[in-house]
Amino acid sequence: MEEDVAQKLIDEEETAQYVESKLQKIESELQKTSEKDASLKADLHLLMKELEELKEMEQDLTKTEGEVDEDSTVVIPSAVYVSQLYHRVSKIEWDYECEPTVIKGIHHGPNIAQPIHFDSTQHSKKFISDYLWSLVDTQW
Amino acid sequence: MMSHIKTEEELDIFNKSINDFWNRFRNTTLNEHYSQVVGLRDTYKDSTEALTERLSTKIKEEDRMVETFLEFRNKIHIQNKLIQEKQDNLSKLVDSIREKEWEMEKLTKSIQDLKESLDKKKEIISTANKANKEKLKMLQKSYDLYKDHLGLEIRKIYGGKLQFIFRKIDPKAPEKPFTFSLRINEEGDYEISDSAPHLECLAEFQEKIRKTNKFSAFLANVRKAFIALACNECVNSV
Repeated sequence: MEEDVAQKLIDEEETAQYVESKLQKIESELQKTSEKDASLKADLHLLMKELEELKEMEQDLTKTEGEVDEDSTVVIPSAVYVSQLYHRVSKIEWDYECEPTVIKGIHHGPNIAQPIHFDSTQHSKKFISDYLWSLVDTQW
Repeated sequence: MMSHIKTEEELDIFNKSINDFWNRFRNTTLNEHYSQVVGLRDTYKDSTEALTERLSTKIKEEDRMVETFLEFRNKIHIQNKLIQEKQDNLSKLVDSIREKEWEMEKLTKSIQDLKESLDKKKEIISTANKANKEKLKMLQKSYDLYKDHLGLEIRKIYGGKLQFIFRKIDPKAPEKPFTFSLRINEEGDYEISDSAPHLECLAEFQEKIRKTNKFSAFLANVRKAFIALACNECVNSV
């Protein structure tokens, strides 16, 4: 009888130790897992921030795209129209490669093409202007 | 009478002899026996005491064992409950982690896709912008040359109108602007307006251009008229 009790006590102590170690194991696992969860939460937060920043960039880019579109569809065609108007009226085609003090181009007259060549330092602006307009036919 | 006294004497002697025997018996046998019994009693008393002590110790030990056993049992019970609780928490955490990992995968892919699409878009916009800027540069060059050398600025203004600004008209004030506006009205005709300074002949010119559509002639004539106006003023001011 005494042996029985002693044995039961030993067994129970063993069980208690086993359960205690099981508890410690699960506590440590819980700790680790909890840390992993927190770390993932932080990572997720960073990723969401990154996504937000990218979306902001997308908005900026769309804005820029709009500006470029406006250049393409409004500003440039408008400038081209004016340029063509100048050309239509004056019949002058400029040489863009010449020196800045030289006024050079071609006047496309009704029959022949006439070169234009002036040294701007030698003439007044009014002289040039009057000359170029003299090439335009005033006949209705 | 004599026999009576003899009997009394004999009784006394018998009594005495009985007493003597009793004393002798008691002193020898009974004493021995008595000490034996006393000895036995004392031994019995000692061993009972010893036994009682041992039993009492044993009982205390066993009580302690039972107490310890119950403590262990209680501890086990409490800890098992804790284990269950923590097991549940662990499960929840594992689910939460799985969810987060899945979300991270999704997010990472979204970010990757968005980055790629943004890079492509950036490339396209950059190329288009470069080309536009080149074109605009050329167009500006062209515009500046026409404006400077012809002394004519053409620009779009409100109301769908084109404004023409002549300079280098007045020799005394080359920068002085001589302007008018033009638009195509609802009937599709040229409509000239807002000349500054005012030109009388503009109405006539409007008719002419509506008829002939010769825009270059029109502009050249307007310029001539402005020059004449400026010269008249010169003359008048003298």
